[in-house]
Amino acid sequence: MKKLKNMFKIVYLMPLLLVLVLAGCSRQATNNNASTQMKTIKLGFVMPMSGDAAAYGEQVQRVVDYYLPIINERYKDKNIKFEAVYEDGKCTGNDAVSAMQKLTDIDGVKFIVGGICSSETLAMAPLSKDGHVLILTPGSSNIAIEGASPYLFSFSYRDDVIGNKIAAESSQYKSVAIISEQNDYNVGLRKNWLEGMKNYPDTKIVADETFPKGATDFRSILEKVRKANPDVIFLNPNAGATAEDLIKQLAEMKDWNNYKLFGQFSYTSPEALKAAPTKSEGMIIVDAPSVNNPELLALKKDIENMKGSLADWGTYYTAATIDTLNIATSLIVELGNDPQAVRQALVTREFNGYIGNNINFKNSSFTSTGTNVSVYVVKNGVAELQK
Amino acid sequence: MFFWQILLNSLVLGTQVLLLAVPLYLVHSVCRIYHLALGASGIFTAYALYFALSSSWPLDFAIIFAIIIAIILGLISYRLLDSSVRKKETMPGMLISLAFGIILESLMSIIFGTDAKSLVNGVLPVISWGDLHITVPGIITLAAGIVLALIFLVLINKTPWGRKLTSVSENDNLAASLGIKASSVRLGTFIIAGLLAGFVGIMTTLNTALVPTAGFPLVILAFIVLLIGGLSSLKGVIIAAYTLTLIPEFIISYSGNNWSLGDSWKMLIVFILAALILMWRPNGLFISQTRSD
Repeated sequence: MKKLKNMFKIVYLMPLLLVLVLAGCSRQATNNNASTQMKTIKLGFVMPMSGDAAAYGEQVQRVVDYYLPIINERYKDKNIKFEAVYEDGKCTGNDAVSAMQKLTDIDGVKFIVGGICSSETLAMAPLSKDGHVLILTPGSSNIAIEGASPYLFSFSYRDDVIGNKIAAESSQYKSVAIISEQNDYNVGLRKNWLEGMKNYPDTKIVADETFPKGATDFRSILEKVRKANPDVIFLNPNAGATAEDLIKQLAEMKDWNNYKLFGQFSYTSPEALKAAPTKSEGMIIVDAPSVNNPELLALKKDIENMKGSLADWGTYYTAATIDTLNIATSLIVELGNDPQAVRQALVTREFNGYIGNNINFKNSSFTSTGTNVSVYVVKNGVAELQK
Repeated sequence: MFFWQILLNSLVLGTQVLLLAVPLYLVHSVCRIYHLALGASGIFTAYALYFALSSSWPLDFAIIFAIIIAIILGLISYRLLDSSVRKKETMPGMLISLAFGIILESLMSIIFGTDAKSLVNGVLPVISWGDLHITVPGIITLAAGIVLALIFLVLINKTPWGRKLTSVSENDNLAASLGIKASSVRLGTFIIAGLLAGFVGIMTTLNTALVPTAGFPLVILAFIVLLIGGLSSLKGVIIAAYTLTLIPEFIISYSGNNWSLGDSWKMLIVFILAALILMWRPNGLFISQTRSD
């Protein structure tokens, strides 16, 4: 009877023992997993995802959604994974600041890619001065970015370069007019263009008109410019619907054609050119340099096939976005999630990328490569690069 | 020719303001409330049309849909504001109306996004006389504004409906004792106001671009027009609507050389004008005498 009792004990105890052993193994396995667990680093993205400039935010997101998994694959062996957190800056300073605060205070982000609009980037700049966050913008070009914060760097070209080039191109004519929107990008570009025009005293500025952000009726402004009878009209609105409406309302004035149209980045978009195809034909557009690196073009094609069009964002900004991601992530992997260490590396080293092979921020908040621009002419509804 | 073109452009803008000031005037006449949601209500109707057209509905169905939405907005406004009207609570009524306008604006932003939309793709059709030119929506706005202003002038001053409206606005209890149902008059007024606001919303955005915030600057202008024109004079509202749009347009258009004023000055000039006029005539330019309560 006693033997039988012992047998029962063994039968009861065996499963218990088995459970304990398995639990121990499992615990050990968990510990092993913990030692190989990925470290996730959040990258914040502030860009216009609604409003007139939403197309640019969407296209940056396409690039990031495609390229970040490639970067994560690259650093898989180091157990580091980057995660994108997107916030809508709405192309305005106030919204960008709210977006940035959410990213840093709630998500714990230490690196922000963006803004895209200069208004976004300039508003965020003062908040980064204490070094708790590093801002890298692939698209903001206002020269006020220069020195705005020691923790702000731009991979874009500079507006003064564009302004000077448009001034040089328009100096071939006797009289010029400019119509500008009142926001950080367009006001900055207008200021640089006016500075550039001082070098060409033979060309007279006969009209310098501005309109507030959000305006939709430009007819009276256009009449005023028409009265001044310029040889050149430089359209300087922000990208999106404003650029489209301005050229559409200009096209309504069918009997007025004795001028040459100049434009900037906003008119590289196929949508803007489609708004008034006859009027935009022959328009001269000065914008960032076209990047013809075959590797980048293949990458851009892949992104477009998988995620959607990058037509508005173009080759330069696609390259700048990828370079921003590559440089930021490589430095974070090397130096840790430390904005101050990464900043130090940015101002002392040189990097290779699609926008150039000597990207550095040794003397400026702007990349050393942002000094060249390209001239495009609209032919058959497409902005074609002029050699 | 420059003068005439600016005049034509300004007349279109003035008519847009007038077409919103008239419903604002009607609601205020009957209910003593500034119905500031009318701007957003008009743009909401325009978005309804945009939704129908972009969903490939036939044009006539799209227009009927927009009219239904305008009527529904009129009914909602009536339901929201009638209690304040009956209690003669002018300020809470105005705040409820403002809140309703903000809700409509937010709804439009959430549903359709804040980027500008076009009701018509491409360049608008234009009618030209020599060097003068005007878009087709512009000329429709102008014609509709003149016709509607005349119709309402006659309706209010010469018809039984106008007399009912005036009696309700002056003393609704006395009007009720004469068999006039004040609530029906108010309901009718809100529906007519909703339809007029919808029309101006569609015409304004057809001529420019459709954005959720387009109604606010328009209703502010219409409100100033109402104050300057005199709250009890439709004739005053008509004159004030054109005065307040023509003067800033001409000042800006004729400013030049070193003193060129941009479009941003427009509202500043409007407010300076309004302040000066109201300092001179605090009750508006065309105030008519009514028996006080």
